[in-house]
Amino acid sequence: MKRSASTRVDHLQIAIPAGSEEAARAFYGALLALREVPKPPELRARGGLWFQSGAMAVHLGVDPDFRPATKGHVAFACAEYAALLARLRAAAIAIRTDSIPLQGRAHCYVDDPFGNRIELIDDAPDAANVDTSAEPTIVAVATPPGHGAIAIVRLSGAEARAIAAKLVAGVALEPRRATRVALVDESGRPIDDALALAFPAPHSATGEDVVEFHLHGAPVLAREVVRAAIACGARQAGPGEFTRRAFLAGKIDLDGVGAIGDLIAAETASAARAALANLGGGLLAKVTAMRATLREPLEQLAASIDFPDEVEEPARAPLAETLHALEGELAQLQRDGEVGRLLREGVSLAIVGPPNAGKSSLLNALLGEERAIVSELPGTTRDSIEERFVVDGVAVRAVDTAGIRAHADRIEALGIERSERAFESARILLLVLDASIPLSPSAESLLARSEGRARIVFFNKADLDTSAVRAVSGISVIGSTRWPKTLHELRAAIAQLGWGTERPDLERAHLAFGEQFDAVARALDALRSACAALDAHEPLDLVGNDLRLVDAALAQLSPAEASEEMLASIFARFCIGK
Amino acid sequence: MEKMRSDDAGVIVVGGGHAGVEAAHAAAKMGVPTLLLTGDPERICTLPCNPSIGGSAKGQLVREIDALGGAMGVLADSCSLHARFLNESKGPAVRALRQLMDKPSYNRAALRLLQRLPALQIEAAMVEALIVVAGEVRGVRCADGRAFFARHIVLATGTFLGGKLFRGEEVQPGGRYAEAPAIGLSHALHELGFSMQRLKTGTPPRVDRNSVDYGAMRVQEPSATPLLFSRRSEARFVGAQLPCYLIDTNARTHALVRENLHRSPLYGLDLIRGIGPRYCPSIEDKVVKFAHNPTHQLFIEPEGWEEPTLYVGGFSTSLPAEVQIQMLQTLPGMEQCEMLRAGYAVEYDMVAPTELDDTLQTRRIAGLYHCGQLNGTSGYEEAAAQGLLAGANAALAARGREPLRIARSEGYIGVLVDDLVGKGVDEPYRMMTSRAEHRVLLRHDNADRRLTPHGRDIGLVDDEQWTGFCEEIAVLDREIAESERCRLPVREVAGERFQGPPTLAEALRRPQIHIEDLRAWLPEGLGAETGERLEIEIKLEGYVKREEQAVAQAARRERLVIPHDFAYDRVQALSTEAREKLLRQRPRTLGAAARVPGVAPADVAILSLHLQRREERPRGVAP
Repeated sequence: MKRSASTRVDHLQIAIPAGSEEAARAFYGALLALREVPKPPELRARGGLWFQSGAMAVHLGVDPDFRPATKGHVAFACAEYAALLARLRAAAIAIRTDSIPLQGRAHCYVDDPFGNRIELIDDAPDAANVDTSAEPTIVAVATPPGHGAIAIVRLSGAEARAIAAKLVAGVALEPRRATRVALVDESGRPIDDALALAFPAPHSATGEDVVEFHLHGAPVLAREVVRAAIACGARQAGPGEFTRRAFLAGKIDLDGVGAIGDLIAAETASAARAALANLGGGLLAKVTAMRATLREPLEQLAASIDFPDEVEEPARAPLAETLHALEGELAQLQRDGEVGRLLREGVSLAIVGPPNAGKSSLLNALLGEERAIVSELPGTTRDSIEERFVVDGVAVRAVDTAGIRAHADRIEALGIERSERAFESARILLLVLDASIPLSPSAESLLARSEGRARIVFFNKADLDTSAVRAVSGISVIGSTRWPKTLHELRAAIAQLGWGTERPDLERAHLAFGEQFDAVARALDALRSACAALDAHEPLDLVGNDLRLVDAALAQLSPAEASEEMLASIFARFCIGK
Repeated sequence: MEKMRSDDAGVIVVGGGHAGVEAAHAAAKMGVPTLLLTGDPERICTLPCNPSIGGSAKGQLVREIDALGGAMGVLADSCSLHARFLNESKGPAVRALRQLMDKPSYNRAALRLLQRLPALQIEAAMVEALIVVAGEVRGVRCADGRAFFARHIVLATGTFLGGKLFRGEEVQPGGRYAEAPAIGLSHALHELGFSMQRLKTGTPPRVDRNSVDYGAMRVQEPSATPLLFSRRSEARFVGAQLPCYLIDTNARTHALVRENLHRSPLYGLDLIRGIGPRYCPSIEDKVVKFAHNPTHQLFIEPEGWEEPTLYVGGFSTSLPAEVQIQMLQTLPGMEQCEMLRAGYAVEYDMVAPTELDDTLQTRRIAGLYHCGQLNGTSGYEEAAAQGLLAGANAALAARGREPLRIARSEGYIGVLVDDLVGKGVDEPYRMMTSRAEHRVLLRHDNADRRLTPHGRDIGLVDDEQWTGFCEEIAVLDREIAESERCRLPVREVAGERFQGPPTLAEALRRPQIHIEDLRAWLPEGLGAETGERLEIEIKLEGYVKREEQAVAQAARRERLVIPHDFAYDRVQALSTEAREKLLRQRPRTLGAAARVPGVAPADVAILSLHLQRREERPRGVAP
């Protein structure tokens, strides 16, 4: 065998345009955190920079005829991959991720300031530094309930494989390969057929041992698997717990955590887009502007308190004007947040009505597919089921209830109780009444009970007869579930009660996360309190105290540190000092 | 030194300024044998700069020192020649007392107070080096060759470390006017590896009070009733109350400054490297940086009943003396004035306070405590507050007891210490209300409620103060309860109408109604101060409750102690900057970690998760 002519790679050279050393230093030095080494004096005149990455020298050479290298590239293995990505993101550098791991390691591509392609590879040591052995093994349904053909139950933790072994009755699971299994519960009773997938640590979503079961979409089956797993020693996962573990294992960075939760929960493409838009900084710009508005009066107040002999306190009238304007903006942000919440959580709708009025047929028509069991016998829908359909990009969570009847058999009692709960809690009520026969006492009672609620009264079966139709409050729709026009009218009515006539605007839906929404609500509360204190002629410090709470709440939406900034600005604006 | 042998469990305090005196006072009052070493015992607490004690946020600090059983409040009350409440209209939480001192009385009173403490001994000595064995401090060595031994030593060296005075082209070593600096100790600290910084401050010229025409000045009258820091002081004037005066600089003053900038050690001569305070700029700074201001306000303050000098506040300068007198003579009423002492700038060494833990003990050397300007603060009150904490903690350590820690929600002292040790300083640190996020709780009126129980716990509050406190609080709480019950026999108070007869508390909650309007329905013997407290506590009740909720919410963070050996370098998700800062600073709690500059909210969330895991692990159950 011929001996290789070279013994090793000595260095890499990346071309940069003339005079761009500072930009290069900012990228390779500050962002990628490569260590800069001085160029030998004899080579300095040519420009360029030298860096060191581990044992490898990286030279940036000036090319007068510079053209970016878009295919050939240097790949850096990064020990702090997640932190680096966060840094790059903060510097608004586009990251092109690649979902196919490179020999089990995450990697992505970025461009340097000159368009040179750079690859970054996660070089974290395999056994993640986090000691996960003491974490209890958790289990939960990973797919949204009542939705989709497949439900996924996920187990994560050191015991995941042992617990799974009991549920699959000892069938061997090959890593990362779907195996068909017959699931059984803790006492060996069969549950369902399923696919099982094992992801050994650390190459799993959470960095722990993970086992997933893919079941038929019936929620009750998924719940049963979770129950059995708990009986075998797992613990029900808390909200966000999988994400938390993934985060602790360095699988995702914190900036992504909130948005990932939303992406998982996003029921529709619109919500997914709003969650993404939120990462883009539209909210940040708004919050920054609001804080800037607050800063001047806050500074003047702070300066007048700490230097009372030298700085006048802010005048009340202009302050009141500023605050009321800000209140308007915050209220708008809160309304925008409602849009975000609507897109995230959807709007709840209860379909109620006497037996056999056509509730299940209506739901099926709205869903566009057969879901609920339809029968000519009254009372066949034994349980309320939740299904989702989309209107104007918003998820409508519809609960079809068992008929609310005066005389119900015992089997139906539970269903009726659930219907009652759905009736009480839904944002919108959709009353389905049979227009072809005289209204029954239960229909009359439903009409009376739903008076004053956001309701749609749908007189169904108008293709047969309309003798029972009468004027009622709220929105009335007369038609048939078989008529497309009727379905269209019902959708329009849902939109009108759910979010008004204006279609939810994604551009305005800045508050994608619950915590952000809470922060805005807190800010608005404190601002209203400040306005009230100002109007009641309370001392200005108390007004200022509220305003600082406003600022603190807003600060939670933006990363900047407040107090030092403010002091610096005070000293720049006021000449203070004895 | 017979009382202080190497096996003595005593405390040595180095430095006789406000920090050193408060430290020595605290340690000795707690009964621990204490030795105060200072260059000249006759010159302790000379108030070398302005004559005032208190002011916005600083007044609250003095009340806190007093509530803990410290000296400053009592000393100030016994020398006050002008007292005034600041921010009276801006809200109860920021109301603050400021007094001007008769400087010679203050120095004498401080000396007398210390001499009455049986556990305290005072020696004239310039400390040059520390005796350190295996990372623990064992004593100090002096310039004259003597050594003193103790395992708990408080350094309160003020501006003396490597001190250098500047006036025009003149540069001379010095800690204060006409006093030699401590050069050796500065080197010694540097040798021990402490991270040092250089700061600058300055003082204005003094003029002869008999050479000015007050008629050309605006008068600022003192309060007509005695205003005091300490409940232990007798409520009376200790001497004549003198007015202060306000004047403005003018174009001629500014022209002189500009013409002579080339002779300024800060500007033209470029001699000063240390960083000066933004809130206390020299007149040179004001003229240069605020060139558009046609005038700057000056404060003419007496420095004593008999002292011939007037302090020209706002006129700090290091221009040559002959320029200073010309500048002074451009001022209204000062055309004929005589300058008794020229202003100067002083540059000095400080040790980065990030070297300290939250008890003010250095992390580098066990038993060594730093306080006052050595930590980069400015101001008598800031120095005294740290002195008290350092002295008390040295004494507690000598006794083998738990240290005293004051939370940010308990006192400005807590804010001060937490800011210093957590963030470090890049200019002389002055306490300001805007630094305190819980300032609705940190009022001058309730300092005793907040801190006297702590002072009692550590043995610094004596029986007399404790009894007085308990009685006062009993009366106050009774009156608060009573005011919720007692209905007034009227429907209108001070022009404010009510639906039916209001309770006393309901009336007081109206911003326009004050306690004086309700005198007729209050017990006759109720003291004026107790009445004021009653009004504040009732008026602020809602704000206080909300703030207390915020504190309670944050308390988990503040209580979550980060293990001393926490492996930050193994938490991958932390940003590099946060990891470096946290490794260096090792904050004691998660709350303190959150305040370290460079630690982002994301980093705090990460730490919190890791700490939670550690907490959960032993029990192995879910939160």
